Amino acid sequence: MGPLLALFGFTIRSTLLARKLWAVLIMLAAPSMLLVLIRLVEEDAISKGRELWEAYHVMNQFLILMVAVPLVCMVYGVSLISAEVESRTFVYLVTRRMRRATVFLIKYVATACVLALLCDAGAVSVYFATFSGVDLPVPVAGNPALGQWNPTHELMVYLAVIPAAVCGFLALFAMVGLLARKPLGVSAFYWVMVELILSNMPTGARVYSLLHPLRLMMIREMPGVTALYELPQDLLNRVYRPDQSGLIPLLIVILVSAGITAWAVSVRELLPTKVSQD
Amino acid sequence: MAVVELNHLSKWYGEVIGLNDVTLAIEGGITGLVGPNGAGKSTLMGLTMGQLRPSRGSIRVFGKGVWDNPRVLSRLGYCPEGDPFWPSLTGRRFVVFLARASGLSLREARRAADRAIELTGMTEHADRAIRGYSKGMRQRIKLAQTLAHSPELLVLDEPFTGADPVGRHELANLFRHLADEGIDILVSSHVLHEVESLTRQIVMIDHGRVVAQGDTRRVRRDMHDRLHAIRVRLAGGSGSSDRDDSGVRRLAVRLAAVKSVAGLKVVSADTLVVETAVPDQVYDGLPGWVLEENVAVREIAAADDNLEAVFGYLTQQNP
Repeated sequence: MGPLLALFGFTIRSTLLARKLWAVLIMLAAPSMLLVLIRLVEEDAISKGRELWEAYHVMNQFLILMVAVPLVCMVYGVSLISAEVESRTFVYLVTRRMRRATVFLIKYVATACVLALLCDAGAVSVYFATFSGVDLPVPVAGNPALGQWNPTHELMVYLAVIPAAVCGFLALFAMVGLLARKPLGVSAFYWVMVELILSNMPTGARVYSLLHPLRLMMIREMPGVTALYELPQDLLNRVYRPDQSGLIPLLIVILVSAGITAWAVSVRELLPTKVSQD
Repeated sequence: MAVVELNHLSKWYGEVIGLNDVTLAIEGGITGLVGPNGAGKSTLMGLTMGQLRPSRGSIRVFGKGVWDNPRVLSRLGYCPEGDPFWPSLTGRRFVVFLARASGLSLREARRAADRAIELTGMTEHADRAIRGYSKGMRQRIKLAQTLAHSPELLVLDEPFTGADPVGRHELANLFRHLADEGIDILVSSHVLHEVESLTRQIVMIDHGRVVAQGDTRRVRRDMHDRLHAIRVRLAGGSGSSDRDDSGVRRLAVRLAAVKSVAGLKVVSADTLVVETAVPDQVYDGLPGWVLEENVAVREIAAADDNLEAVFGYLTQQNP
C-alpha cells in the first residue's frame, strides 16, 4: 500500500499546485460571481420564489454541471498521463513498485477527489450567492411539487451528483488524452457536440450524453427540475422515466473509459512526442 | 548468471532502427555502454528499464521479463538522460517520494533519502526547489533518487552530463565505491574516456548493433586485421629535445631495418610510434635495439589499446 499512498498524496499535491488551478477556480467561481453581480445590479431580479428557484437550478444544472465540470475535467483529464509522458517524469513512476495500470488508476482517483471537492465548493458558493439574505424555506408559487421550497436538500443532491459527474467526465477525457492525437481538440469537440448540443435537443437522442445519467440521478431526488428542460410531456415521460437509475449507465461509462485507459497504459510504451532513438 | 540478457533483440521506431538483432549478456560489476549519439544506447537502457518493449526478440533482467514487472523494477535504479523533473519539488521531496514509491515506509524513505543525498554531495542544496538547480546539481539529485531504495543494478544514462571536472571525478569515485559494495552498474556515455576511467568492461554500439563486447584490451588484441601501435618515448639527454631529435632518428633508422616493424611515425622530437602486426616480437626486441643505439627510454606502451582507438577502428573512424 505504501507506494500507492505515496503516489496518491503526490498527485493530490501536484493537482493543487498546478498553475492551471487558477483557471479552474475562476471557472468554478464564475456562476456565483454572476449571481452576485445580478443581485447587485438589480436588487429584486432574483428575490422571489420562482425566480430564485430557476436561478439556483440554472446555475447548477447548466453553468456548473454542463460547463464548469466538463471543462475542469477536460483540463486535468487530457493531461493526466500525457503531461507526465511529455515531461518524461512518467519514467520515474513506471520503474517503481507499481504496475503501470495502477499508476493511472491512483492518479485518476486522486485527481477525481480533488476536482470533486473543488466543484462541490463551486456548488456551495452558488448556494450562498443565491440565498444569502433570503429567508428559507421559500414559498414557490406555480409549482405544486415544491410548495414550501427548502433548497438545502437540493444542495445535498448537487453535492452528491457533482462528484459522480467529475468521475465520469474525468475518466472519459483521460481516455481521450491517451488515445487521441489531438486530445484537447477532440475533447472540446465532443463536449460542444454531445454535452452542449445533443443533450439539450428535444429528441430521444439526448440519452447518449453523459449528462443524461446525471440528470436521471437528480430527477429521482428533485423531480421538479424537469421543468427546466422545456420538453414536450410525452418525450419527458419517455426519456426521464422515474423507474430508471442513472447510476448504472454512469458506472458503465466510468468503468469502460478507465478500463480502456488502464489497459492502454499497461501495454503501450508511452514515449514523449520528441523521442530519441539513441 | 548474467544480470541483463538480450536475445536477438530488435527495436525500431517506425522505420528507424534503434537496435538491430542484438544478442548480449551483461555480467555484474561496472559495464560501460559506449557509442556515438544515435547509436542505440538509450534504447538499450530503455529496454533494460522496461520503458520500451522489444519489437522482436526478448530481454531479461535478473532472469525475468522486465516490462510492467514491479518485482524486477524495484531491484533497479534508473538515472535517465536529460531533465525529467517535477521542478516545484525540493530535491529532498523528490528523492523521498520516489523512495516511498519504491516500497519504503515514510520513515525509511526519509532516512534512505538523507543517505543518498549525502552520498551524492547534495545535502547543502536538498531543501531548495529543483527548478533552481544547476545542471550538475540536477544530475546529482537524479543519482540520489537512483540510489535511495538500495537497488541491485544501477542503470545510468549519460550520468556525467553537466558535471564539472571535479564533479566527474567524484561521481566516478562514487560509482567505483558502489561497485565495490556489490552493486552492478550499467553506465552509458558517448564520451569514451569517462567510461574508460570507470571500467574496461565495455559494450560498444554503433548503428543499433553491438560491434564489440568485453575487456577493451582483449577486444583490441583480437583485431588481427589491424596493425598494433607501440609508442616509444625517449628520456632527456638522449638527443631528444625540441632542437635535437637525433635520438629518435637513430632509433627510427634502426627499427626500419627490423622485419617485424611494418611502419614508423615520428610524432615529436622525443616520441616514435611503431606499427606492427606482431607486437610481442617488437616488445621483446625493443630493449636490445634501444641499447644498440644508446638512447634512454622513458616509456614503451601500447598506443591504441584504449577505448577511443578501439572504437575508432571498429566504427571505421580515425582513432
